[in-house]
Amino acid sequence: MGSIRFMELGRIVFFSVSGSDMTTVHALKGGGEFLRRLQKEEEVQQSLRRESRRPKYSRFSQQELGSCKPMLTPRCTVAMFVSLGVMCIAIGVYALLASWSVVELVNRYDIFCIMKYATHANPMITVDEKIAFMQDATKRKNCTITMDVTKLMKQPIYVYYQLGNYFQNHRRYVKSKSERQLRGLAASSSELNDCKPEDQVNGEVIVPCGLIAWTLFNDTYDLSTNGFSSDNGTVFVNKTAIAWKSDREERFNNTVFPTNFPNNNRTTLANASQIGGGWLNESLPLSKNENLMVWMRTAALPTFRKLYGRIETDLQPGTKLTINIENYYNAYGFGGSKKLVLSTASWIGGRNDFLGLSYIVVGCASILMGLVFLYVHWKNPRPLGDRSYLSWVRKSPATSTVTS
Amino acid sequence: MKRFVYINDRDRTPGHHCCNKVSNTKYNIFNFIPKNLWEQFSRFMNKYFLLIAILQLWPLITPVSPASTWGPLIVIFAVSATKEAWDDYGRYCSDKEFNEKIVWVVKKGVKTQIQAQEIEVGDLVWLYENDEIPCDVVLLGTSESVGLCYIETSAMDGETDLKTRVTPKPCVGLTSAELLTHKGVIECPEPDRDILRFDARLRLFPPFIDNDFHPLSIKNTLLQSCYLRNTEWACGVAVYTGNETKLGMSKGVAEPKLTAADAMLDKLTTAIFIFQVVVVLILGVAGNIWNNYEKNKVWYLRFPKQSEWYDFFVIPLRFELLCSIMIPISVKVSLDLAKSVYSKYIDWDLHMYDQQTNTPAVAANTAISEDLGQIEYILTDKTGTLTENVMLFKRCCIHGVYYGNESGDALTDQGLKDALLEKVPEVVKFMLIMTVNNTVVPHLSGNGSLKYQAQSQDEEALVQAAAQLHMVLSSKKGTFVELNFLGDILEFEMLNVLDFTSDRKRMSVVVRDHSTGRLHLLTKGADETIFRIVRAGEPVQQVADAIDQYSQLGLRTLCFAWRDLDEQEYTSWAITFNEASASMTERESKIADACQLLERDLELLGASAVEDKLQDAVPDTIASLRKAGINFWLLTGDKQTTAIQIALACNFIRAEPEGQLLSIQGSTSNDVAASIERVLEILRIRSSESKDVAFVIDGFTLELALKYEREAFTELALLIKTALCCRVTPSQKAELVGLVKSCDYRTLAIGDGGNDVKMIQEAHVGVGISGREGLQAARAADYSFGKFKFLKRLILVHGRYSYNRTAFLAQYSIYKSLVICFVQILFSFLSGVSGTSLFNSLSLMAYNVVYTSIPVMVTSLLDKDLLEKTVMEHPEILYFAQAGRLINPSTFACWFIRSIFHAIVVFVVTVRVYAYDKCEMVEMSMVALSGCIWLQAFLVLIETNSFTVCQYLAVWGNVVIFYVLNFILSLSKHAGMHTIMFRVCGDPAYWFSLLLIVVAGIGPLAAIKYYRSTYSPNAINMLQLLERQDPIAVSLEASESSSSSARAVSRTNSSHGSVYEPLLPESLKSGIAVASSDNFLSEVSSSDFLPFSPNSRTPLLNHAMNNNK
Repeated sequence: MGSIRFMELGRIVFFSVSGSDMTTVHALKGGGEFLRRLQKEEEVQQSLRRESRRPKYSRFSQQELGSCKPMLTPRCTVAMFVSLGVMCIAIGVYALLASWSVVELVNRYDIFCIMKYATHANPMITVDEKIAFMQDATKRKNCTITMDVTKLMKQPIYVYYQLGNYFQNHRRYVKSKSERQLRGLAASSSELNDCKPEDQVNGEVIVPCGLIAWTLFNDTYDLSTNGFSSDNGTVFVNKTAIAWKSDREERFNNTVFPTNFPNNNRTTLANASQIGGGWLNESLPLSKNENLMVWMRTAALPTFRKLYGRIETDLQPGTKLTINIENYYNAYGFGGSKKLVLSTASWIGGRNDFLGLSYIVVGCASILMGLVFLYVHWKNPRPLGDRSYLSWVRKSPATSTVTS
Repeated sequence: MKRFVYINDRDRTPGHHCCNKVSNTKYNIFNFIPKNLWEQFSRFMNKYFLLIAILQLWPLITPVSPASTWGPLIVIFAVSATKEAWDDYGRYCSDKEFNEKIVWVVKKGVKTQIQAQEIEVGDLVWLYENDEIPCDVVLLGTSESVGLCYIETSAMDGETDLKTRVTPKPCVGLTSAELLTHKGVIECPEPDRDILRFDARLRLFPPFIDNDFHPLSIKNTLLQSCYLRNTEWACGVAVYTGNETKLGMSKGVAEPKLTAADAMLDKLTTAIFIFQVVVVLILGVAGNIWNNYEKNKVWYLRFPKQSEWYDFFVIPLRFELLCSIMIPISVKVSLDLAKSVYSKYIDWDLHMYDQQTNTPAVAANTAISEDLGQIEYILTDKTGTLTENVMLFKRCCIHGVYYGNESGDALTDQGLKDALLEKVPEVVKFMLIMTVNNTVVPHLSGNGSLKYQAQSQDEEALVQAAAQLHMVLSSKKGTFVELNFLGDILEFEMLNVLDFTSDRKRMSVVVRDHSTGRLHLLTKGADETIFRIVRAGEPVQQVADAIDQYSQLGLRTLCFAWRDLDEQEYTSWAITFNEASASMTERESKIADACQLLERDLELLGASAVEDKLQDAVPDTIASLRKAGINFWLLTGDKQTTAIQIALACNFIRAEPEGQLLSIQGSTSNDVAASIERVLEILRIRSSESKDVAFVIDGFTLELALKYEREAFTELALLIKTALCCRVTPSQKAELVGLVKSCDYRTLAIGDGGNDVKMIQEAHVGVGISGREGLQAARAADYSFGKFKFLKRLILVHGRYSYNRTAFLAQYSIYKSLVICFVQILFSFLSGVSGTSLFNSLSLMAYNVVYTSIPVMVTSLLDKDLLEKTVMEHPEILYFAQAGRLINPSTFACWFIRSIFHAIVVFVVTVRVYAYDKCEMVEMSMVALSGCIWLQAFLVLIETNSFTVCQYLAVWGNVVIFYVLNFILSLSKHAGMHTIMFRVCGDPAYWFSLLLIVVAGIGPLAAIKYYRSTYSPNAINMLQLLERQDPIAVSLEASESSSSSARAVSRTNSSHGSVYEPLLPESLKSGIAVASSDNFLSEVSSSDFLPFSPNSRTPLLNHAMNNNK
């Protein structure tokens, strides 16, 4: 600070010296020095000017980027809500129609199928009794159910099995697989660890390892029309191409064959023979086992449908479908349900009214909201930008400072 | 405890004192990693993240891959450790420079050069002009024959004037040869931090005859980091070295400042943590119950038959990890990033660049910009902060002739110039007093230019003015003064200096004119004291009128008087005076009495007026910030009258009838208590009145008040909006800041000098004016700039925007983490409460780091709820930022509810639309994730006030990035997401679900926002509407309000208006009565408060000598 001030002082002194009274010059040791000082000072000034610390201008640094400020004015708000509502209702109706166009036949068969085998000795009332029956490998477990087609079902008709209260998304379950194995590589140790307790049999690695593969769903359905006394009544269910294309071609390798699969050798593993899912054909590569692929796409919800196959003929109304079920899969232990589902499809998939209904509800709410706003605005029009609303304008100026 | 220092005798000085190595570093190479880690982990958030990261190493419980936490954690730690290391290295380098500086030290009678760090206690240190003093030294000898030396103490107290230090009496007159060899002992206390006390004794060993113990005081010391000035050499003995010096002891590590928003965020984080623990416990217990109940039934899960001891903890810990994202690791990083940009905005701001001094605004602290928007109290220094601190001699009245009245500058007044050329005796006398009667030291600097070193700016102004009027003070050697008057050399011998004291309020010198050999008494002082001692018949009224006129212009006035002495009178008086000076008891009053004898029958020459201009736009700035609800305290080292005058001039306090100034004073604690009580009563009674009440207190009373009446004073401090504290010390300033701080108000301290450093560091936000008093304040401050007026922009624009943006960013960051966390929690109820993560680790990490941070980051850098112009014109709007109104538990509750609502919307829509045949897990997780991301995009849009192109780009670019990233992942065969995104996007139900999520999630928010802004609008909404609707109306109103403030200004101006109105006949007496400080104060105490009429006159009297104390 000092230097600047003294420079000023210096300048003024020198100017005054040069200005009026030359007698003082000798006191300042001659004019040459004076001129030199003046020059020096100018240099300093120039260097100061050169090194300006003035910030550079840019619209970003000055926070001056052009911007627009959309504002929710009454008119545009009402218009927005009403038009949004109309749009939603339109979508809702469209979705609901699509959903309604789907024909769906559902039959829960697990109870019926086991009660059929209820005897006086084994009334099948308690869960334990049911389990005991299911685990008895010597007993036959088939049953026959019928389904009536009331509306025309256009092909393709999808055949699903639906499990209820089955937690494929459980933490123990969902990780219990080895992606590397499926691709034809050796399972990593961490994967094998995830596969426990279905990782190894007698020290040899199970392929495919893990709970998911081990619990493969193994009920089978034979469909026919008008009873299955005659062959021509059989309804062909196409069980190929039911898994994802990427699963068939990439994820499940055609060089991997099931080995040491516990369900294939129920006698060696007494425990496993009694529970657990279906067996796997050891001569068939995994890439051909589409059932497994579908099963191993774990479901995120405890109630889920998985594709069993496709019927590629139309089913006429009035057709009575007879389905012979091999009821192998034990859903009794955990209180699950098993259903057979035949369904056509629309653009939103199977029958699901939720999307359509909620669009309609949201649309109605939106229109209602718009109308309420319209009414309020009509009843209570408020001039926008009324300065009198500013708190400090309302208050007297003396108390305008806001205390906290 | 005493310390014995044997001068120049290393053998006898005990060696246990520390060496002179100064160390300010926090770490060394070996302890850096452990110490830094320890410090980082002392923060709650970091501990939490570490715990989570460690838990994730246990594969049984981790829902996601450990890398998702470890990666960011390590990066964050590395970054902050690097920053610490860099800072510490800087400190190490500056220490090293100081330690390795070469100094001269006397060893065994020979001067040798050693490094500063090798100095030991007892060494004789030899210093040359402009040397930095390497350690605390007791002065033993100087080049000046009288044993004086000058030091500059700016590094210590920020005062740039020169201070004199004297050698102790026994050492006076020692030659330099004697100094090299003499021995002695100094008995001094153990090191302490008091830079104003040094109670020690010195004894010189034989051969010196005077070898009794001689007392030493701080006047005999040279303290570390001061500079030796204007003295050829000085030598002294090192008594305190290294970190034990007074400076080293008072060095404290400045605590890192935590902003209110940070503190609130920490609180909220803790609350979320508690919430998280509760959720985890509930879910953990639920999960265990599910397990126990279902364990034996769900054969497909094959629970192990025998359970492990830790089984009970597994599920809670899994949920802990699953919920750990509730406290996002990214919030700290994104906040730091955003804040550093906010501080860059300050650096870049052209509106805060001071052309005149070439100073841009600097934000040294990058972390606290949002606190600027929450300031409730501003504590400001006066001189140099509110005023320019450029004293300029503007006017004078000599012998009834006004100079400078027409042009406003006496220096350009031709009349004065002519009078000088004609050598009008009164004018010459006047000039002589200006030039001679002062403590200014002329100094011919290296490049030959003449510099003046002055203890006060006023004296310097007078001397400089005289120099410009061709009476140049060219040298001062001891008592000999040399002037250059219109080319003639005038020599004077200064025989006696009749010092300034606060009682006397005048300063005189007795000089002998060498050309004539005659004696003169030159006196200058406050008008009221001078008027009492002028001889009868002098034109007192004339001068009083002049002073009155000047003080109404806000100028600082001095009276000048002259007396020719005759030799006899002087000789006899000199004896009395010398006796008084030497007396051991009541020296001061005896001297005063002696002075009185000589200072009589003076010839009154006239009065001078020095201007310390208020800085540009100060009243306007203060008025605006006050409208913003900010309370102002003025803390000044100046005296009361000056402070009041300046306060009036800059809208700080208002004159009656709008304002009222109460005075608190007393000399005992009881008096002070009573005084405070009276003021409190007045305040309570008049709280309903719309008066701006302020109080004024001086440093002494303040000390008593803070010591004994802290509670009452605190209550008072909270009731009052304006306070003037005069004559306060730097530490009292800091203490006052602490007092306001302790009441939970956000404080900002602004100052320009080293004496403000403490308060600047103490306050929540410290602002330094990089002004003329050096850069100490600016260096210590969080923000610095060239002019006080920039404070308005700093607070209203930068502070407010930063706070708004920080509040949004912080709460949004937690909100978005909560959304995804709640989706996970909801999902856990559908997955057997087992702690399955719906989302994969990559998605979770990318969600926090990429998908949700880019749009909000850009928005929080660019969003402006109101235009800068509107904010500047309506400072009241700052109210919505103060006291944490934008980030507090209730605002956060809104965000919390919003997050639950959005999580439910996303979850229900996803789960219901993707039911039955579609509920493949990976697909569903992508649908839910997309839902969250679209919601976030629209939420940011609805929360944005102003859109720039960048924001659109960020919001939609982010969505594009989401799809591009996931398409890439879907192409890879090995990630678990092969083809997923293609399948998902190919399904129309996906897009309809997203639309439904967005409409259902954002619709209600839009409706609420519209309703609020239209039917219960706050001021921000109002101004937004005004801005949009009618830009002219906004400015109209603004001009109206600014014109009202202009009215206020003009009113204040008119009270000091240049139009001189004759006062009432008795004005002279009253003027004197008011101006006389003692009477003034007693008048205050008798009436409890000072009425301020526009005409009340309180002549400025910030005389140079005030600072002498």
